[in-house]
Amino acid sequence: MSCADLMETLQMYVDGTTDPEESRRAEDHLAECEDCRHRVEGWRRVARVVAGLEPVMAPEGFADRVMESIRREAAVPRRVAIHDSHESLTVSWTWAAAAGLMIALGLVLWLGPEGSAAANVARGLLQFLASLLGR
Amino acid sequence: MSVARSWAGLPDEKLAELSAAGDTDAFAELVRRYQDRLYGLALRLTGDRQEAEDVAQEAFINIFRALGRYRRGERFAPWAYKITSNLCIDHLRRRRGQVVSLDAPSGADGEEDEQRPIPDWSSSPEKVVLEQEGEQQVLRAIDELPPNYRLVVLLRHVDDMTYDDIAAATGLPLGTVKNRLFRAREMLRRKLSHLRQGTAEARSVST
Repeated sequence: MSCADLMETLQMYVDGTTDPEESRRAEDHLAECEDCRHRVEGWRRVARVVAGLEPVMAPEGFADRVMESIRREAAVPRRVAIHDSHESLTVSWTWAAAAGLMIALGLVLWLGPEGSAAANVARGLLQFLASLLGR
Repeated sequence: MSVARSWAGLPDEKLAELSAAGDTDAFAELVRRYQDRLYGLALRLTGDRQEAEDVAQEAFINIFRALGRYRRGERFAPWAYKITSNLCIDHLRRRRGQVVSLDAPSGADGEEDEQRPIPDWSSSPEKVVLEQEGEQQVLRAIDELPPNYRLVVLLRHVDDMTYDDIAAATGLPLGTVKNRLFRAREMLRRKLSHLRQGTAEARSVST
């Protein structure tokens, strides 16, 4: 088996994730391949130096600052999408009902006798609705 | 008088569920547990303490907002790392104006740039100048890796993540994780081949 074929196995061998059969294959290859021995030793060294870097700590008061933002955000009541859609649906029905009523009143005015009580009531209601919709 | 709650022994996943249900004290415990790790990742990716603090803070806020999508039983650490690493990569992309590829080396044209400042990864401002020559070389070598490669090598060796966890924390396929890790290790192996024994290595051996 060539070095290239074993590269993934060698990497897993360095990370300690090979099963016994893969480990044996890696060790057999390393015993006879100097290049791969250097490579594997180099990878182990990389692992040691990177893991050995000075540990990083969050700055003083960092967690408190984060939680201050979180608590501020949590305190603001969230608008629920379903409520919004229900609300907009209600508004839509109101507009539809108003439009329907205006059409009905318009028909009364158009078809009814001029000056009749029904026509006068219809005209008054229409003016009232128009002023409401015009706001 | 409020009694301090004890979270000891409670797994991160349980805290995440409590946080998702609106328990901000449970989330405060998650922040306490993860602040060094996520700030550390941000610092090692951005190389700037102020930017790292801003990114890490934004990451925790994003994690809190995303808790509604957190699936019960899902491992918290890779999930939180994914939100943080995505944010770091976005910041780097914005900073670089999308001119430089995140898969390309940080140095100009891939050459080592001796004029670039060594990233300040130290936890205290007093330690801006790192004491050990070897540690400086390691920091510079890691900083010169393309960010996408730096990310997998940090998750593997600093955060001690498995390949599967790295895949979950980056959203990359397992094969891509292994490939990037292999290439990052090869780049670092060559860069660090002249590093003297001791220094940073000594600390890891002694722990």
